[in-house]
Amino acid sequence: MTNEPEINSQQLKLAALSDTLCAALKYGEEGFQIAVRILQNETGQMRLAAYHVIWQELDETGRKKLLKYLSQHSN
Amino acid sequence: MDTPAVNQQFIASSQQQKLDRFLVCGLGSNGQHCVVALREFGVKAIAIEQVQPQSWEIPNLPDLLEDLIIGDCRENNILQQAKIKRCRAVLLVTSNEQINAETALAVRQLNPRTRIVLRSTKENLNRLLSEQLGNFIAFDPNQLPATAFALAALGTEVLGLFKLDGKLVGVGKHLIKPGDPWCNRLLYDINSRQRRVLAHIHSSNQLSSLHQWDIETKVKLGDTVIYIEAKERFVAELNQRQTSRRERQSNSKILASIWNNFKDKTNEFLQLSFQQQIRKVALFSGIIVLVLLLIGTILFKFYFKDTTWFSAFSATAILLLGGYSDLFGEFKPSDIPWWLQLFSLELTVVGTVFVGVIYALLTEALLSSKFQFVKRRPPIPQNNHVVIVGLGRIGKQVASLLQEFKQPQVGISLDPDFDRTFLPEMPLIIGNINDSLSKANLATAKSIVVLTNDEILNLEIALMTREINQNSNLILRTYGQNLRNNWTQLLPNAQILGVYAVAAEAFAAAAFGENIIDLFRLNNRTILVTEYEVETDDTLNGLLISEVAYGYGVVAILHQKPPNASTLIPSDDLKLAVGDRLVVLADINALRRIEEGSLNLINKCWQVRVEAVTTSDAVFEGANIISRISGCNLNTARELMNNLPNILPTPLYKHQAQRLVRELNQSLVKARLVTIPDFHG
Repeated sequence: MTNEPEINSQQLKLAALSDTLCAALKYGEEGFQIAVRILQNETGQMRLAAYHVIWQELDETGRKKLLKYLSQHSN
Repeated sequence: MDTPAVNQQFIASSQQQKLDRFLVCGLGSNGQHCVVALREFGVKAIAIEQVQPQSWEIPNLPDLLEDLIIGDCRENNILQQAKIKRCRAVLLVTSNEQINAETALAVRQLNPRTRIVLRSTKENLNRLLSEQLGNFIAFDPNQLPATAFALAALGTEVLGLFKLDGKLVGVGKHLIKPGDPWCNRLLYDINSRQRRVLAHIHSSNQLSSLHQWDIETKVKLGDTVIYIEAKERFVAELNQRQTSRRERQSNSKILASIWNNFKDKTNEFLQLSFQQQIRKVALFSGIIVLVLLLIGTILFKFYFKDTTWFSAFSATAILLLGGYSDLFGEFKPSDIPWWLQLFSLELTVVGTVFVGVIYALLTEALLSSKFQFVKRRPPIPQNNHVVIVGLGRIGKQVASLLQEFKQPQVGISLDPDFDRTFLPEMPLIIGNINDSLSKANLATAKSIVVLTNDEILNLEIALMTREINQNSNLILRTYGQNLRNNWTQLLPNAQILGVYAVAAEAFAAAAFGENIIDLFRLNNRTILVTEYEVETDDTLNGLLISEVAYGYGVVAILHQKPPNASTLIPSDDLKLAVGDRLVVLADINALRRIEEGSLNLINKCWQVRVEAVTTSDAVFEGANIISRISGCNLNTARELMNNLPNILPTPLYKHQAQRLVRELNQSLVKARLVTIPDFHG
């Protein structure tokens, strides 16, 4: 019961993040760059969720590009 | 009515500064290594040192610092200069424990929120300070690496051994030999409820990192499997090995061993007698007394034909013990010839001198033993034992741990005043290094651990032992970085552990709020056994244990959802929530990843294609398995199973995907792995 507001706020954040990323990915290369930057700024569970959204929105070429970008920018 | 107070509180909380700085007080060896370890976490520390150092053990250390303040860290103005109010953690690591404790009190007054990591050996004081100061942890830098030393001494098979919630957990390294039950089995098949494979190394390869291997590989001869296992198996295995070794010894070998032991003891005695002046005198005196006793007995017997041999012997002994007056005390003519009386007088004079010397030596021996009539220690093991040279604080801890692991060992202390009551079950040699090493059966020792406080002496001992035994595990203690680098070239097969370098990683990790339970070394990396309690904004919250493991590069070894009991080697499919307790094995890079929340996503590129199902039950069961292992929504999984063939949209880590395929196939759902061509995570 005490965790309910937290869960709701988390779900809201996830939904908002998902909408933003989906919207960004509609705008070609620039949109992709924005989506990837959002992904890089997220941490933990939100980072994972952002990655899943981007992954599912991209085709195979896009996914390769995403993985290449991540491997170049991983620390 | 409380409006002003509430306002004040609100203003105070809004004025609370962000805690984003790290402070290290004391830039000795320990402090410098802490700065390096903090840098590995991606932060630059501010440091306080009493005097400007003339040289640095770590050459580029000033570049790693945000600021260096020269002054007394106990003073408030110095702490304020170091932005104490903005410090997330303060590491008090000077070599003076009093300064560390005083600084801890000063720090807490200036910043009630900062985490204090204290270098201290005083357990009781640490407990009291922890209660009083809060957000506080203390470590003894010498104690932390003791386990690492002890485990290194065990040889190559046991890498880590620690207790979690009273249960023993071990990390083992298993080399596959002919006839090994693990040979030709698939790696995942070795896993059980109590055991988890951590890594697999082909005979020709080196271990790169945990999880960088294929779980569906068949284990071959010469491969190495690193695994973690709960329960008493490790200790039991070690004991079993020793017992079976003992059982294998034939009677002839036992007799040979007794004879060798006798010879060694005799040689040892002779060597000692001639090496040590005082014993030479004792031997000389003893021989003179015996010779005189013999001559006297013969003379008395032959002159007094009626007397017995025993009476002649007694008369001579009385004379040697200064009893001339007892035999010739009365002044009256005697039928004893003058020369025999003169000889008797000579016996008394010479006897007084030499028996006196023997008395003196006996008294000295009794006094030097300090009347410690302790239990006789067992004999020095003949082979396959661990030799610990240097029984200081860390040496004692290593010896205690090895005794706990029931390892045959011998301790060598170079301190003549060493506490002889320490570990009475451990064979102990006290004396100078040459004598001690010659007695320790070095040539047949399994491991030699050199732990004296003198680094150069450690090197000398290491080189001496290498001459005698090239094959033993050699473990050396150092403090300095430079020496460690040079020694590695000089002693290529030795394990050279820098006490402070190893401990610093635990200090740095503790600065971030983590509870470091223990540490051990794996392929020259320090693995920290770290405990987390999942909080609301935690980077672990909401993740599956598999995602934590493969995403951050750690191994989860304990999970607890309070108030339930903890589970060792938890399932990969548990989702972490606020309040959960998780213990992981992680190196410092993995801890940094968790701290930053930067999950590795490059390897999360495997997908599962579900082809077909053979029964209607399999549709239902398949959806459950997909949802459980991948963490996706159950509705998504059901939709997938109702529209076959189809690819699960959620990308997975390789081991996660392989396990999903395996479990689906077991439930009569045909599935296979799919990956991005040219990109194998």
